[in-house]
Amino acid sequence: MNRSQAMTLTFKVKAGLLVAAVVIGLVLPRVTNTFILGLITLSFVFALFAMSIDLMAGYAGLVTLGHAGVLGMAMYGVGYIASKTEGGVALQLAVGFTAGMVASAIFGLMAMRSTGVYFIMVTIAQGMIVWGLASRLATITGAENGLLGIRRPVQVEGDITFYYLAFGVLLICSWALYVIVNSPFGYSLKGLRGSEMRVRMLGHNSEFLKFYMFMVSGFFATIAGILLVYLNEFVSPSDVILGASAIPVLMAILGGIGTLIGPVIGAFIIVFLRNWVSILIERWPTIMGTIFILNVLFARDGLVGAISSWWNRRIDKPKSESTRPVVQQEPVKSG
Amino acid sequence: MNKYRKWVLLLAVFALFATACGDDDADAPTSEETTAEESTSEETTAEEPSEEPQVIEAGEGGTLTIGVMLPLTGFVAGPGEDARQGMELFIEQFGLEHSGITLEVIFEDTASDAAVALEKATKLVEVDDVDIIIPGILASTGGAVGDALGDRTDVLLLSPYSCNDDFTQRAPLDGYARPGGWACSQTSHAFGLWAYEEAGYRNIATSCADYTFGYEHCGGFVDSFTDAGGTVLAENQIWFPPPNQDFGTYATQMNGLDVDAIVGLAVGGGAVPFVTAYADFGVNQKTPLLAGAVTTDQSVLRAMDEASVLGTISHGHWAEGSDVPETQAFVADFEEATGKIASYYAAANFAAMQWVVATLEETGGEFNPGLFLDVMTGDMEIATPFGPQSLDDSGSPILNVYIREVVLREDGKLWNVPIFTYEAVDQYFPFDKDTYLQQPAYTREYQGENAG
Repeated sequence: MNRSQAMTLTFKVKAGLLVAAVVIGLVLPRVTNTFILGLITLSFVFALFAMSIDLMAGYAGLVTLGHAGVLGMAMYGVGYIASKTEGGVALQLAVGFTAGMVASAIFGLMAMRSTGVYFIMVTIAQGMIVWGLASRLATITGAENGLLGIRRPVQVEGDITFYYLAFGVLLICSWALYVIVNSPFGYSLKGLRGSEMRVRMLGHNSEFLKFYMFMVSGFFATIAGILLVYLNEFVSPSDVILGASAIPVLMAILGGIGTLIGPVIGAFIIVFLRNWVSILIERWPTIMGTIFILNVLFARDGLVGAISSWWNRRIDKPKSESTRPVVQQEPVKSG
Repeated sequence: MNKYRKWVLLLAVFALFATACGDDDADAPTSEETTAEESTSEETTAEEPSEEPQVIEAGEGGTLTIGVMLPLTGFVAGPGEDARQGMELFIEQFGLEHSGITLEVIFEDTASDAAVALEKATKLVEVDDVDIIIPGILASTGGAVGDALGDRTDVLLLSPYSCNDDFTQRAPLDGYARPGGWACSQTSHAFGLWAYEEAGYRNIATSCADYTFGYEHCGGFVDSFTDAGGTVLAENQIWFPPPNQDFGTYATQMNGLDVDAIVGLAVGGGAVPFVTAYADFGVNQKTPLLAGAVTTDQSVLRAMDEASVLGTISHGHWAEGSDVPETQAFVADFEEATGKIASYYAAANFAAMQWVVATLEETGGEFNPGLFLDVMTGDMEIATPFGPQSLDDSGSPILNVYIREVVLREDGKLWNVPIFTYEAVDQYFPFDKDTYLQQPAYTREYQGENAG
């Protein structure tokens, strides 16, 4: 089997899996109960959030541990209008979106000059600032009590309707992210991961690049935040604690960092572990820990990386020296 | 490049397809949902939630399902475990058959997280079709679940833990009561009065956790203490973040204060380091500590050093060293079953179950959420491990408040023994209800009319 045949086969398998996933996604509400449907909806939202983080951590190699700050600002924006004022859905969305994007811009300005471990430290501080505000500004955020009385817009009030909304938004955003990571902007982000110095030598302004990255990633995190606040109809400081920023990073790593499908798979695994396996097994954190250890030992590129390298070895045995996982975003020079 | 174009096209087609479905849905949510729900109900009846409450007529018999949400993992897992053991002790002692009704208890782990708690509450209501929910220990999980289920008439929320003042005061939740519970500022109102009238303190500082529970718990003290004539200056109110473990800087600040006593409220994992730092930095040599209800609760007292905590005065609606017969019996039984002295968390679930069973007896085995709440908030009084309890018309308990001292038991274990008791304290004590409700809720900025 030569390379082009293999590529075609890989493409067919990928396309088949995608079609299967979409078909399953569309029929699922008819065969499952409200609780499981709620968990899948939650997985969709976290998948989108994890993808927004993966754009930074996976593609640009800049791990953020404060992105729940952006998500949380959008949630609090919507929540404040819904809970403390008489504002309608349009105002809720506008304020939520603005809050998320303003937070992204501020975060971007704060972090665009840093790199490596300093970047992580700056982002942790950003997340903690939002957490501090959420816990302290009791008159705006309700502090530990959270914001109560948030309700979904009537058009998407039902659980099934909201499921389709989240599913649709996830598909559109995935497509948009796919376009973005394969655009010149996406390649320059990958350049940042490789060598920031080289990116500068090529004439790019790496600091602005990081700022744009924050804005693009923040855009998707904001959308995830708006979905999450309407899904839970509640927001409290526990949505913006350090763990809330770290878990989506773990989702991306578990599924396969630097791929778009990886965060989605990771989100499903972790959401179902926390909410569903915990019903069956009391010591569910042990299972989660074991999974992470196995992940590090046997699948360092995440589940997607492991599966795709297994697949490549299988269809392309003579060229087995290529052990790096072939991810769908790898640059293709001609074609 | 061809391959990528195809991918993009495929994704775009499916995205459009999916959103088109979503749009249709949005245009006609009712019909779409009805069909979907009809089709699921054919598969299994449990999946079709009924908004109608379960109604059991007197003498009819049946099953009453109680969903108990507890933080069995996460940062309050310790108290969560105590709470479960309290519930299990009740079941072991009294069984699950009462007044012709079979009680079914389902435990769910909230992972100390409001978002997980919401999912679990949905599962309990939609899949397990529970009649009663105990919505976790933390204020945030209690609030989230209370808000999500507040407008449902088919589930009763009984909260022996989360104590947010306003849930039974300025913004009362529907279908909600606190059998076996308390309001956050309730016990400290009595403590403030005790500090002024009985202990003779006139000038006090506070050092409390900087979040809602801290505001309400310390605010209660400051409000009643200053109302009685005492002084609490705003600059003498120190606030520290609730997950704090290092109290060195705060102990130094406290050392510099010239006051009669300091009210200290640290919670969970912060309680042990707080009390230890208070002693290690010598603050207790100069100024006595008046501890919050959970700061020397048995759940953390077990881990404390005798030298730093012995003799500390605190308050609460639970005192494991009380000579009330029900308390003594519960503490002895709990210790026999688990080897631990019972904490407030263990007693609260036990008391909540006592309330459920006693209410069933009162109704003669009849159940519907509205009736149950009416009977509970009527003229019932229960002898709980906390002492006698009844509920006011908003569902908040009227209970004994104990001013307690940490002493050594005969076997060398530390426990809280009451030194003064305020009986039948309601959530407004010592204020007039109407005047009290005119005030805003306690916050960092508002700690009572006369504070500051």
